[in-house]
Amino acid sequence: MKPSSVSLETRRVFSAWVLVSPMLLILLFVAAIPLVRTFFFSFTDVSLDDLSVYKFVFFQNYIDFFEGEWYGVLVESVWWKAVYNTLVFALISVVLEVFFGLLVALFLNVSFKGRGLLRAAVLIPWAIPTIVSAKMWAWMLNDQFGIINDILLKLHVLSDPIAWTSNYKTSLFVIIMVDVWKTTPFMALLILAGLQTLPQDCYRAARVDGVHPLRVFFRVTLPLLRPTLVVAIIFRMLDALRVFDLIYVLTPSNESTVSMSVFARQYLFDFDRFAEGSAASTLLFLTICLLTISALRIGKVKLG
Amino acid sequence: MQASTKLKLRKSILYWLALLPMCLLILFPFAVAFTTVLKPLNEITKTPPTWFPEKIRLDSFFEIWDKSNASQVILNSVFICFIAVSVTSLLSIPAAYALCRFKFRGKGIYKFFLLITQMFSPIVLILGLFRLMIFFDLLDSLLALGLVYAAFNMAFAIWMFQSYFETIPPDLEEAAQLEGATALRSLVTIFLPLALPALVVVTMFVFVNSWNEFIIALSTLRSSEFFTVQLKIVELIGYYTVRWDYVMAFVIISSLPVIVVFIILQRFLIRGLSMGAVK
Repeated sequence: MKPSSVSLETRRVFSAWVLVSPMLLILLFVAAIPLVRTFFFSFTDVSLDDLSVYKFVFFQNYIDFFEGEWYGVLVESVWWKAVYNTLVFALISVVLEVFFGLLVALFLNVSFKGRGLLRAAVLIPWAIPTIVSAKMWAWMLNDQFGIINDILLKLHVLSDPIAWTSNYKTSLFVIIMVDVWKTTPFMALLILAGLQTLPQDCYRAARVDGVHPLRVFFRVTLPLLRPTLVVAIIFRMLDALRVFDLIYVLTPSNESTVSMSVFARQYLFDFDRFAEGSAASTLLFLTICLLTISALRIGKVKLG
Repeated sequence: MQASTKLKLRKSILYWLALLPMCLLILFPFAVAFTTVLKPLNEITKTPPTWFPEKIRLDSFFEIWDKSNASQVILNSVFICFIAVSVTSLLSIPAAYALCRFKFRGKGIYKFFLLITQMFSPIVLILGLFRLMIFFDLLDSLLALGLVYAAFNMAFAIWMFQSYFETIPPDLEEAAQLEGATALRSLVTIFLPLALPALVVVTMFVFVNSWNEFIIALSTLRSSEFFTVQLKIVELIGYYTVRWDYVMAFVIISSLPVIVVFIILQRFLIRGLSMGAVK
């Protein structure tokens, strides 16, 4: 290699690092420190009363055998229930959100009168704070004066009002539905931005050649939308796997909808079992990390 | 000419009719909130519920506006969002540009590290952040909260910008730089207009997230003069007897800034320059 090209290369690498490092510093500060502390605490017997007094117990918070009995987060049936709920919630809600998001985005990409108004209106559920929309839905799903039971009774779909949020058969379904209602607009917005990158000449050519619109969608639109969809799905997935406030507000202290985040929060603060809560938080992190790595592999997403 | 406008109008009406059910479904809870505000207190918890208020009462809006110190609260939230949005954009655009245009070692690890910041629940974060903010004496600081929000939206911003920047062919900036434009100038005049939709998405994303966040705000903002919209809502819902008319009225008032931002920003959800024209 010629010396001049080496120096150019080094200069480019140097300027790249100058551009990316401010962010790295901030994130190391606010994200890495809490994470490492949680790891650390999960191997101790610390309690919330005084975080400076602890001794190492190694894996006892995760799993422990003591006088013929098993202890630790990994043998709690509620933990496994939480894992199951979280995975079901994340999978179903993200699939539905991508599907409806695509549909809405394709509609809102066509030019027609009043499109701007409609675009803004569609985004509103996303803009309402989770705590409020959860309360709003809880209010509408109330078994006494809720409007949804009222409609379904009048339509003779139901014969008796259902307590949607406390019934173990319906509560997880309700959580998924509210999340889909709330997050589909965000998905649609992302996909709508992605649609702007598609070259218009492709479509014109396809129309001239008389290719069926569905074929155009699967052969042209979907492959070209891939980069957008990858970002959308990864970040939605990460968010869904950490679901907390929706469940906490809509179905408080209901074991049939407990998620990994809710479990961790209960142990950390409500049950005064801080060390086990830290272990649960660590497990939550490891689960998400593994899932993300496998998703990136399966989706053949290039990081570099 | 006239025929084509007529055709366009007919098409628009058709579209509206097709999209109306979706709209109703999406806005249904909002409509319920709105009628709740208009109802007198004794009508709200009636069984069976009434669809439309029997007596319309607009006073809730004015009462809660005064009671909640709404103008101050909204200003606080707007300030935090402004900080979060501008810091996120200022730091993530150059980083995404570097990731997209330069090859360097550690790029993959860097992008994965960004994802890691999104992998643990906010509850874990609060403990660490709280200590950090006490250490730097940053409790009750709107600026610090804005910066924290910026930090946690960086991952999405960088990933989003990078995936969008990849769709912009490098010859455009190279051509501009050959003609003597500086790197910064070509970034601002050629690159960013093409990336406008991504900028809109990121701005909306950071704005909405920062506007709606309350867990971190709850633990770091103590004096009521610094309360954000969300803390006010938490306070209103937390009362022993929740006045639903007040809560809903406040939710509607406090959603208005977000809706205004949406209406303004969605106009820019198109590419600034058509790619074909510059090719």
